[in-house]
Amino acid sequence: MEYLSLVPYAIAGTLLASTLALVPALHVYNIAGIFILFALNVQQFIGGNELAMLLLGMIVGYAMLNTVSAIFLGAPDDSTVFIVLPGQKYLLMSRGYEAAVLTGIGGLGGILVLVVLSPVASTIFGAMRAIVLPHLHWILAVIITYMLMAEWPKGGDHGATGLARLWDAWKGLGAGILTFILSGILGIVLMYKSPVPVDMSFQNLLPAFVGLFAVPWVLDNILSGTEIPKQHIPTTVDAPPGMIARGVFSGALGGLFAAFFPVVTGGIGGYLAGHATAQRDDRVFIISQGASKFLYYVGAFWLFFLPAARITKGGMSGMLATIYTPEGPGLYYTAVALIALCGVLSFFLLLGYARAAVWLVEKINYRYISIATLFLLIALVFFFTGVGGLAVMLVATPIGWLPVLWGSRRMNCLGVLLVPITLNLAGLGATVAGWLGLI
Amino acid sequence: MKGISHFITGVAVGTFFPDAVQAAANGSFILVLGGIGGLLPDTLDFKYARFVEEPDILVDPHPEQFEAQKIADAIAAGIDRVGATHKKQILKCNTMRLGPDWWQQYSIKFDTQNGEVIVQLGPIVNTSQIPLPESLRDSPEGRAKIHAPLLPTYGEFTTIDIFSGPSFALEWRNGRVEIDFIPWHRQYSHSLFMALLFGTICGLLFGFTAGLVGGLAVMAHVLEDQLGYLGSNLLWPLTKVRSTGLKLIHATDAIPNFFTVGTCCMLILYNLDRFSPQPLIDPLVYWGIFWLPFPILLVYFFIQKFRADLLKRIPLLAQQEADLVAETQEVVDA
Repeated sequence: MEYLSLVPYAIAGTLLASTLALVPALHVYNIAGIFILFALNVQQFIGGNELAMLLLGMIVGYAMLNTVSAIFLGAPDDSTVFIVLPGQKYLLMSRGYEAAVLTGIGGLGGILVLVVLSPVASTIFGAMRAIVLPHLHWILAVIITYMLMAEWPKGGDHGATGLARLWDAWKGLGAGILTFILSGILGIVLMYKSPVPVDMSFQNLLPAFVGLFAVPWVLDNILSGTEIPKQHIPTTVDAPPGMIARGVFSGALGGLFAAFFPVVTGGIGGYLAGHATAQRDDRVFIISQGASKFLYYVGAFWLFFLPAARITKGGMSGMLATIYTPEGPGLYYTAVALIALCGVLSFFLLLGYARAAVWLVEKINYRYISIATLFLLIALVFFFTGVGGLAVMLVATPIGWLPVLWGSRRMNCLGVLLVPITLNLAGLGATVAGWLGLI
Repeated sequence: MKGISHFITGVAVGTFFPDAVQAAANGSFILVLGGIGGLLPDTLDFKYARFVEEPDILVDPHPEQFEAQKIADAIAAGIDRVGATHKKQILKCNTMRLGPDWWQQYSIKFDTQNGEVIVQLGPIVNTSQIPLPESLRDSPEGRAKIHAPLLPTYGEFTTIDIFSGPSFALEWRNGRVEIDFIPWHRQYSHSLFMALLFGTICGLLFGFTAGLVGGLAVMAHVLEDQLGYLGSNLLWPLTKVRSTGLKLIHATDAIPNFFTVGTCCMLILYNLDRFSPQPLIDPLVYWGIFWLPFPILLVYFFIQKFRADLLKRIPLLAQQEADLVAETQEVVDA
């Protein structure tokens, strides 16, 4: 019974995050960081468990609802970047609402997976962590290698000689590798000499993510003059149970992988799992990305509550771990129950918000929406990270624009995270930073 | 098999070497060589070999002046030429790009039963291969009679739309013309020679164990490909043709790929634990319980497959070519 008092905090967190999730690029971690700083000063009003459940509600709401801005406003982050392409494709086919609902179904599947795994999670993840801990650097390097090697040429038909055709084919691949290298250098710079003010250091990556992922997409929408057709709101979803199960299964593999391994985001996890389970259907892909994204955010925070093997992965648990330690199986199972409760609540909110977004894109010219989104992104970056953050965003934007221009993968922008962390795990970060004149 | 299956198999191969695992635990990236070796054969084919192949017959249609009959005639004439001269010809079909995201689709079918080449104009599609509504133009189909005797081949339409188009080797074999799909694939890159070469390079650069990891990873890829309908040119440069595989799976079958990835992930984890100072995994529980779903799935797959095979008897060559078409499509999807 002692844990029942935590329910309102979790629900409040979900309701709060559901509003925040609609603002493009406003990450739940941006607000959570401010909450934790605030909570430190008002400890007599809110206890550790209450704060943890408030943040849990927030992350559940965010993980379910950030799809709306990604699909309807075309402003993704590192985890929703894979949803935007099929999501916008659906939007252009009058099926934007359906795409949002499919990601929500994936999220519901993610909840089910967490609930089912909760009794055995401590044993499995605890042992896995102990085994892979000394090997994280090369596992991340393996992921990077696969990302780069598995990008295939998208041209090469035209050219009088073999060399000309090879050049035609390799232009896009080269742009992808260049994107990865440049975003990796940006990541190292941000890690060792960030222009973001120290008091806002927990927002360090916000301007880079906005510049790499959201701004190029929004600019693309503005320049290409994308016009959104009238949207259809169906009463049923065109996805049989078998298809949902395949999507959830694939997304669960990717999401849990991402929740467990450092730096691996829900997008990368979903991408790898999609390859592993040989999924081709757009609907399966969208459902799997919904499940993967949900499990990436929520699963990482859930691991923080594991009774015998507390694992700190992800921004939320990283920040909370500085002031709070969860204790006991009672709190763990309360967290699991509240994830389920807030998840279902968020799904219903998603249905409402997706309808509102449909209304918005039908009533207002999409170019105006994109221009407003762009101003909002700039304002948010300035508000949270000041002029230094704007400078980072300005550097990141052309890097994020490279894949748009050359038709290479936008995922290569994740070099901003993967490169510095892999180098640090291998003990090479400082050496490379020294080569770049950063230390 | 799919790229990720080959890649993870290569990594798994590396983890069987205790000194490689111990070096990896101490900061080495040696096991990454396994992944590179695992995907190297397809990388060489799809990023290099396909572009340096010189075509003898080039189909490079213009979207505004698409003449299906003219294309069909040119292809049929090429096949007849091979029948007459017994000299190999490479046929290459280029794509038609209309804009940054739009392509004009067309398709070709080799109807070996009726001795015809059929060419059809398709709709305009975007890079995700979604047709633009109402973009299908009223354009006459092209049909041309082939007079040379043909070996049975892939009987469905091969669609040519996005990125890079397919090529075909037209070759005289056993008194008939064989239409060999994507002839640049699974040749020297998928041979024992390549495994030896990559292993030697890795060995010279990073040491003996690295050489074994790299070479065996390439070898694992080559061996995995022998499970399909089309093997590879295993003994290149001594042989010139791609052998027949064991006909157990198609390259893009979901369950065998999932089985491979799952089993390799479990092998990697098991080996990392086995070669650590304090192993935690109980092999009986690990393989007896956690791994069990994978072989069960595989058995289910083979039961379904053999039932389906009994119902429809498709010629081996057609299955092999279908495999190649599917594999190329996977590269497009990735």
